[in-house]
Amino acid sequence: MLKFQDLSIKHKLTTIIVLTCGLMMVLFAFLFLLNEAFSFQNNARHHIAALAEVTGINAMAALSFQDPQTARELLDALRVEPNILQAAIYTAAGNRFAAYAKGHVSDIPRHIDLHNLPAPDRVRPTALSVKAGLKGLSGDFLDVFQPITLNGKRIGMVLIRADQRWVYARMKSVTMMVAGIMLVLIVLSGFISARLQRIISLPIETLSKTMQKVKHRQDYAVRVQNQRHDELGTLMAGFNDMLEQIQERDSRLEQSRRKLEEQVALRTQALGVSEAQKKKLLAQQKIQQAYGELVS
Amino acid sequence: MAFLTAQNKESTSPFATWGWTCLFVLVLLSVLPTDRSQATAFKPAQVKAAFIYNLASFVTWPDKTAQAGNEPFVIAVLGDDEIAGNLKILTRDERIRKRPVVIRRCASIAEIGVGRILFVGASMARDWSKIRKVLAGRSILTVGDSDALIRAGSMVNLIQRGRRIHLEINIEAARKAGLHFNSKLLKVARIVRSKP
Repeated sequence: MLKFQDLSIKHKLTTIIVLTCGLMMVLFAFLFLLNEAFSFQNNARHHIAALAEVTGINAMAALSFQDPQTARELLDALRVEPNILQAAIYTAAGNRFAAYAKGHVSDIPRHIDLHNLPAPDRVRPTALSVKAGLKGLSGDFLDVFQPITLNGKRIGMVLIRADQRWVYARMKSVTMMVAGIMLVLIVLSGFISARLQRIISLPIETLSKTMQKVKHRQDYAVRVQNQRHDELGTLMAGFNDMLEQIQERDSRLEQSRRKLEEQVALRTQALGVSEAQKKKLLAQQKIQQAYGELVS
Repeated sequence: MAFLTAQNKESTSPFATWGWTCLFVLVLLSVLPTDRSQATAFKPAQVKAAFIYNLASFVTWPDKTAQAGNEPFVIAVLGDDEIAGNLKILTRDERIRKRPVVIRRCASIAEIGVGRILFVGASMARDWSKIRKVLAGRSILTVGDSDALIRAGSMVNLIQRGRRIHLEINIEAARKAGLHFNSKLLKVARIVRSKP
């Protein structure tokens, strides 16, 4: 397997960007889903509480004038909310006045103790069984107790029990959706980062290619194209400067070598040495020069 | 779940059974008028008194009568001492629209012109035309317990059918007096028209 350290700059940059994006997206998705789960529950509670309140207000007359038929009709209207499993209106004494149930009405108690209800918090989720996954977030059922007050007196109570299991299904579909979006976004971030990383990696690549070229051809006239003003620009300018300095030194050396050659030629001419001797002398001179270069 | 387990607890603990019975009786006594399941145990006059008291919450009187400061909410009763007595017991320390309730037992038609609600007993039904003249131009809710009265133009009728007391209302008569019935009341009452 390829180690991260051995990857090229190009791939390192892409990997870093995609990883960062991915991590942030996972974090965001987690927080988003957590918030969704809570708001689903909260909305459901408020919805059921509002229905209970409306039912209570409408049931005032039915309770005051002892008309359970009308109260039953009111409760029957809760049929529109399929999550409501049971609903009942109790009198102030705690006796069942009217009831509605998706299943059997007989499952709803005929008498309840209204004084032992959780009075200040009328919206209360009750956990009969808690499903794995959303543990701690919700019970399967939500019971809402809504007092019916007339003229400042409590004349009765509305009770609604709603099924909360739809929240799990809803959370599942939202999670799937979020996961899908995340996948698409990560692929997209891969594409975008692959394009944008060139800003950094391309100049480094040119620099290293130019360096190879100089090394192989011993050609110090090569220059890197540079219009950048960041650290990479400084690096490239420095590289160009270095090449220039080497080139200059080369040309100076060449010049002094030529000068020397001319002098030797002049001297030998003046001495009138033979062409063979001249060649020998020149060779000697070259050896000396090379030796001097080596020593210096 | 609390309201399902409540019953089980009740039946398992011996103390609870006794305690609950006591509490139940106490609570029943305190809320006697609205408890339908026990209504059969009450005399019709008690239920009628409760209905008259409850009516106050479902009727709107015109503003000019509501303005009068701290004046009590008067319910006048003509020709039915049993209902007047029950109303007195029922409304002791009670308030209607933040006003103390006063039950006025009227001995004659001359005394009926005050208050918000007037109950006319069956014994006075034949004097309706005289009563009507006294009430003309006043915003008083007239309640009776005989079919003749509502046909003649009273606003509410408390009629016994079987074991239950039913409500009948005459919207037209109430509107003429400037009174409005709450729509919730219309749901539980039968609407009746005056005979021409």
